[in-house]
Amino acid sequence: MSFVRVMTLLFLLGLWPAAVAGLTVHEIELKNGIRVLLVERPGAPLVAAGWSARVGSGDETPGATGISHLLEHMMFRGTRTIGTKDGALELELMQRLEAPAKPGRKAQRRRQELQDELRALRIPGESALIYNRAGALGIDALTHRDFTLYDLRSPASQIEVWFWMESDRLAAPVFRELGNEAEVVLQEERQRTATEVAQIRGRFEAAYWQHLYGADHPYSWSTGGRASDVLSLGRVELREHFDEYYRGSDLTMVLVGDLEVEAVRALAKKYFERLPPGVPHEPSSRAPAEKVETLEFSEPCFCADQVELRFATVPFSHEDRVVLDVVAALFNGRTGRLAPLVDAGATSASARHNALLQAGSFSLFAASDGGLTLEELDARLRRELTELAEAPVGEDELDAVRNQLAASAWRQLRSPSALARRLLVYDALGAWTFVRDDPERMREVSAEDVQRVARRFLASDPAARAVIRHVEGGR
Amino acid sequence: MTLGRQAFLVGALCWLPTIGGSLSGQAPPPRPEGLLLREVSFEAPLEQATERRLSNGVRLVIVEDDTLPLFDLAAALPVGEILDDPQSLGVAATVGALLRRGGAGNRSADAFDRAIDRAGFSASSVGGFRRSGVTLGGLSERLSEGVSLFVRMLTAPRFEEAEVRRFRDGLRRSLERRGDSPSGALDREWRWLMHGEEGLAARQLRPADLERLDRAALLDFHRRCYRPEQTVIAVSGAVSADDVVQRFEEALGAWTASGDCKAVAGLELSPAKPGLRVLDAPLRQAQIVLGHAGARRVSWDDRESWALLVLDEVLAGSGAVSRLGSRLRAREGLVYQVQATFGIGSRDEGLFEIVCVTDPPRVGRVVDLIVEELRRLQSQQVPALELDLAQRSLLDSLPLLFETSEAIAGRLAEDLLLDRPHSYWSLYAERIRAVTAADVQRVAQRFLSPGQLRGIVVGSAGPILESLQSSTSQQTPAVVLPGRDPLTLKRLE
Repeated sequence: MSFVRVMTLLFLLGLWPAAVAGLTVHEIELKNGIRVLLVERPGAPLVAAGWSARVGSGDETPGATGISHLLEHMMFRGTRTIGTKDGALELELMQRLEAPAKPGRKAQRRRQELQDELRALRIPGESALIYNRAGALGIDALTHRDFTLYDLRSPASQIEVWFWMESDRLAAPVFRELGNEAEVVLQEERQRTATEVAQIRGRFEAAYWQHLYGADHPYSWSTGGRASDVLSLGRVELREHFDEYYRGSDLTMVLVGDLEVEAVRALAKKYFERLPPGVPHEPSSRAPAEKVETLEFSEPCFCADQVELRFATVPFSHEDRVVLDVVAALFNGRTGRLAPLVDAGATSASARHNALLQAGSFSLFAASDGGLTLEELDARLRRELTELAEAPVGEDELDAVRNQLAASAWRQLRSPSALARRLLVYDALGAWTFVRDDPERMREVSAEDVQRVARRFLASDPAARAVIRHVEGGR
Repeated sequence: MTLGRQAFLVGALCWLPTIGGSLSGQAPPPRPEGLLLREVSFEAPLEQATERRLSNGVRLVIVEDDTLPLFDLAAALPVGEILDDPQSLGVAATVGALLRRGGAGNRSADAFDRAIDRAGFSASSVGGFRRSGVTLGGLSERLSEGVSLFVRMLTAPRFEEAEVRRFRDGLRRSLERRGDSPSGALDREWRWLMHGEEGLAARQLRPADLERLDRAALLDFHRRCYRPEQTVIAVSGAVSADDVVQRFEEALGAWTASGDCKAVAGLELSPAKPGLRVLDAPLRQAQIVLGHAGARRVSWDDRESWALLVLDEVLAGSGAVSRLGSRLRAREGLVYQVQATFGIGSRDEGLFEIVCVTDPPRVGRVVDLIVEELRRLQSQQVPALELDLAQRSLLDSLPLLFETSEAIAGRLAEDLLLDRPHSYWSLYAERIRAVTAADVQRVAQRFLSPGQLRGIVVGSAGPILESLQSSTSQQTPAVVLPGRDPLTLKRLE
């Protein structure tokens, strides 16, 4: 689309000046490579604060699956200062406990004594206690395939406590009570996969990535990892993982809310510049297998009939990512191209473009509890894809989607904590600037762009097809 | 300047000298305690809202905020399944769902969808148990179009035959497969356990109800129960209050209702005997819900209610203090999450509920620890530090309830709907701070009954029953509930 056409369209939509003025991000790079992003958002006297490390299950290897998630949990177990009555003594006792011991009852008794001494030194939950006293809320963390993030909301007047606590967490974490936390991690994973359909979808996910990128591709296992791996991981492995990835050049801090940029910039330098720089990691990427046959995945389930057609696309930073996002929006919603499926008897039908750091996938999904057969769902989904590739999308239809995306982009800026998370996530997947620039890039998407990506990525047979068939009583 | 902003500025001025010291290049202090302020004060920004009543009784709460070029409209009414005729369940929920989907004014369902999507609006409607509502939001330059569509949805739904039929077909299929969802079964059995199978809050849709679910029934329910004098509309965003009032007066002022709309009696609890029931399901983990009757609210400034809020926070709050969280998760690694809610009803007794998920062989241990913690709250006073942390946690959460203009408008509109005085928020900090350890112990003794817990556990029955056999807190053996026919919900013996 030409510049003049873009300007004319934006003028007509009345969006251009506000779209640029809506998000001002102050970007600071500290000496050790840590990136700090600040957004002033006056209102309630709160600041959404968080940071991310560019490491997730996508950086793991077989045998150590789940280490990123376990490390995320262990980062809440305290530091050399927090959670202990004597950090130096505790460290010494832990080293003695982990040293190779001679067999025998005497040595066993000594180990028990050491464990008791360690337990006596601990102050459980001290980190949460300090944050509680500082008025912090929503303390949370998340491990993704490509990143791990930690965030909360703090009273604006108490934000220095966040700087103290998080810089201390990154400077000197201590991985206490690993066994208990590994159990909690396994509980979380079991809870996530408690239903039969969640387990089946997990198996499809694994099969898809293995089919395209090889058996040991790290996207093929869940962020929770394999239970046997999680239970076998020790403090040494966690420390190595931490030293490798939780370093300045792989870290980004974001603060959004009722803050004063210069004061917060000074705090960032004071607290975070003391952390080591490290060497930035280049994301590993592996090309998908050329011309693969469609993976046919089929399982019975005590759940609704479901079909998913999945196509390999592009990673998050690729210029076609936003076009594929627009294509997904064309399919979704009450007037989207998949709406007639629901009118015809499907319980749901949707499209999703999932762009990750190393690769992306586009899925068309439909479910039915008897209104349409699996074969009908499959045929209707394929028909929609063919139409999109063969006939250019009309300007009215595209305009409606552009309007929806513009309004949606504004809504995403409304909540400080949602904006902070979005900045962290986009930064880890490619660049935070996508948060600012995506709405404009989406508005530039033309009917020709839509047809081009539909033909390139969605016109041939899918890379994988999942058929989940309802059966009474399950497997 | 608002009170909230004033309060913040006072706080900020106190804070600046500290930062000034920090900026001079000092090293970070060895510990964080010196950075903690004694208490952060927050006053709910009540004065940011404008309240108006239209000529037909509709109440408006408006919060102007031009930070972003957006507006949001949300209407809420005290209408829901509670008003359904016992012989014709499902009407309120269907009306709620189809306000958005069934066409409105002179627009067919398709034309209405196109108008919403073309303008980039997000719109929804829902019918719940006690409350129903309609929302619409979009870019503020389209406010006029948005108000028009919103008012049509709320006051002039068409309930097109085809949409009603589609919705009814969907309901029928969901009835046929409602046995597929263990979580749905857990919820259903829990309601029956506490309210009885005929209780108003436990009624379940039956195939016969679907036969009576037609356009005429929906229009009749809407005409009788969606009443202007009971409607509260929250408006927020880049709008002018005067302009909004004028627009709504013009668009909505002529709206009237006709006919009676009264709830049938039967909200009271009718709990089954104490003890645990197990529902066998092919689940990897066991889902547990335990509880008993909650409390009835005497007034919005009832001393017991404030004490119960603090008790709830001590038991399973979101802050550092959560006895169940620290015991079940941090110390024993038995669960990933545990939630507890002490319900305080205005029209009825609420429910006290504890919900968690664990491995089937650990169910007995989890239940024992829960009972132990409830008894500890009754037998010992909460230590001063723990009480202080729980109170702080509640007070610190207050700004979140008023974080955005949409939240402020919504909160104050909810006050009108619940007959909760706005002064509730002005008094909040003072009342929470006034709760003593003796108050918490008193309400624990009065309202908690660890020996009277009822519960449902859904999961693999074999290992669950085995683990419950060694439970020390359960006096009566757990009972395995037979399955039910998904359509009729009759027990399959």
